Amino acid sequence: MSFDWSFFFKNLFTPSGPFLQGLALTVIVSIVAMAGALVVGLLIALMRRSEITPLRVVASFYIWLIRGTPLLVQLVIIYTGLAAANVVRFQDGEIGGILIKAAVQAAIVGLIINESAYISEIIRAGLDSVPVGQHEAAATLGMSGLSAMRWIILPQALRLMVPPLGNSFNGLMKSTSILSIIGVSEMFLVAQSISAASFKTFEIFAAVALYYLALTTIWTIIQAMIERRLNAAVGIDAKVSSWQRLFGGRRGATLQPTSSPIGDLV
Amino acid sequence: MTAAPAIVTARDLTCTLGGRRVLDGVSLDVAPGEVVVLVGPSGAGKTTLLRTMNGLETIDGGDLLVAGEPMGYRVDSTGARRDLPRRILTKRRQEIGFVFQHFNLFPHMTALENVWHAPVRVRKTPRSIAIPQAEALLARVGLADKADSRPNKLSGGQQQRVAIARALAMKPQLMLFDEPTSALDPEMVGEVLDVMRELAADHMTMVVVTHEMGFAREVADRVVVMDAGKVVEIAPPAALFANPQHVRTQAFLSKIL
Ligand SMILES: Nc1ncnc2c1ncn2[C@@H]1O[C@H](COP(=O)(O)OP(=O)(O)OP(=O)(O)O)[C@@H](O)[C@H]1O
Ligand SMILES: [Mg+2]
Repeated sequence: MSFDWSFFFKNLFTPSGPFLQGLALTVIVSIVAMAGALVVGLLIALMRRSEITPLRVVASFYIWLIRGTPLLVQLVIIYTGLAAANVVRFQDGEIGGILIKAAVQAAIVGLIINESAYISEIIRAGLDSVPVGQHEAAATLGMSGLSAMRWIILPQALRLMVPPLGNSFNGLMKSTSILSIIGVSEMFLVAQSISAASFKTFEIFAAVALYYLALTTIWTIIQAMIERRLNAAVGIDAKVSSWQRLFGGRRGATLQPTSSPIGDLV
Repeated sequence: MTAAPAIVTARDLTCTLGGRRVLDGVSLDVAPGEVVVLVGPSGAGKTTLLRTMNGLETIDGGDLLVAGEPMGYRVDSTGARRDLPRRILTKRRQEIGFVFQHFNLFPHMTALENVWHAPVRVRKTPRSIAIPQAEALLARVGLADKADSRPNKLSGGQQQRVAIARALAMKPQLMLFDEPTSALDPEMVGEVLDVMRELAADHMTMVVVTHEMGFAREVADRVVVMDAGKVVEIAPPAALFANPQHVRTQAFLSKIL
């Protein structure tokens, strides 16, 4: 086996400028897409629970459509397909003086759409898990549906939603590597070009793997902190250590109800 | 009692749930300041009757006036019965307190927050007023020292007393209790009944579903016996327990006394 250790360590500890930019893009796209997907997902979840039938139908159709097709196909349709059909053509644009490439915009839109379909189901399951007595208690106090949702139902549902939502975010960070297909120069694409120039494919992708691992590990630790906070807010002192979240523990199985199918794509 | 207009007026009301006629022509008046106790065998429709009084269930026949207005429905100009718009129903519920068998406290809030939450969020009472009032209510139910405890750190009896304080915080005209002591360990029943006894002494209008016949005998102005969706007998407790008129009342009382 020939493994160029010095090349590997160089890329691991002193990564090039483009590589760092790729890493930053991976993180930023992940965070923005997750934030957007949470908002859209909540909206879809509320539509699915609505008393108004057309809203329920539209939401169900959205979830069926998005979950039934691969992220890759969705991205190509959004970025290339819609432009080719003269529907929407993403243009490079600036927000606050920062250039945002057309492909990055399309990537964020695509990830939001894809992830929101999964997230809406997580949110819906979370909302459904709050006992009906809580809705009734809020109603008998004269709270409106919206107010009850904001103050009574969502805060309780959140505690149950965070573990699966965290898993979704974990999957989302990894699935950004798929964006290379539409030319977003995130970490994976940058690594690919380094590999093409140096022929050191194993070395460079080993370094890339470690970077992804670092990202998901940091997130797992943050997630465990959030879970501890939320549990403390309802007076449950469940000890979810980062160690358990990373390597599993006796409670691991109950704390990880669903994994995001897009995580499995990559 | 006949002079003051009734707070609750039910006339021949019917309510169908899941295809079953759960209330089948119930008539009942509750006067201001009166304590009415509902008793009857399981499945008689006691909970359902209570729930119709604040619109958790909607009646499908007869009349149900609460504070003079139809509850959970409205009658349009052609005389047809329509659902009450949610906004109006929400507003009307602010005047009616409801205490559940299983407390239904908000687990993510302290006892004190549970009590001041609705006045602040619903009535827009400033916190500077609502919080001291909530503290006073907790003191009234004997839980001043538990203000900062979360529900899961309280006993059942304590939770139910917080739930009563929470309902009282909205300054309701009418308090509805659905078996408030049935989920409690026997040694905690007394502390909750004591709070309810004091409320009655303060002339709160109350409709109480309970199996506590001692409470009914002592506190109720009238006892309503229900069976199979109907009211079978209404009488002051002394008369009812001494001399039940209806065979089904006799059967029911012989089982529980
Ligand atoms: N949502 C519903 N759908 C169908 N049937 C219902 C529903 N709610 C109540 N019922 C039925 O209506 C009947 C009366 O119920 P209700 O809960 O009012 O009785 P109850 O007198 O409070 O009895 P218990 O003493 O057991 O609490 C029961 O037979 C019950 O099964
Ligand atoms: Mg009942």
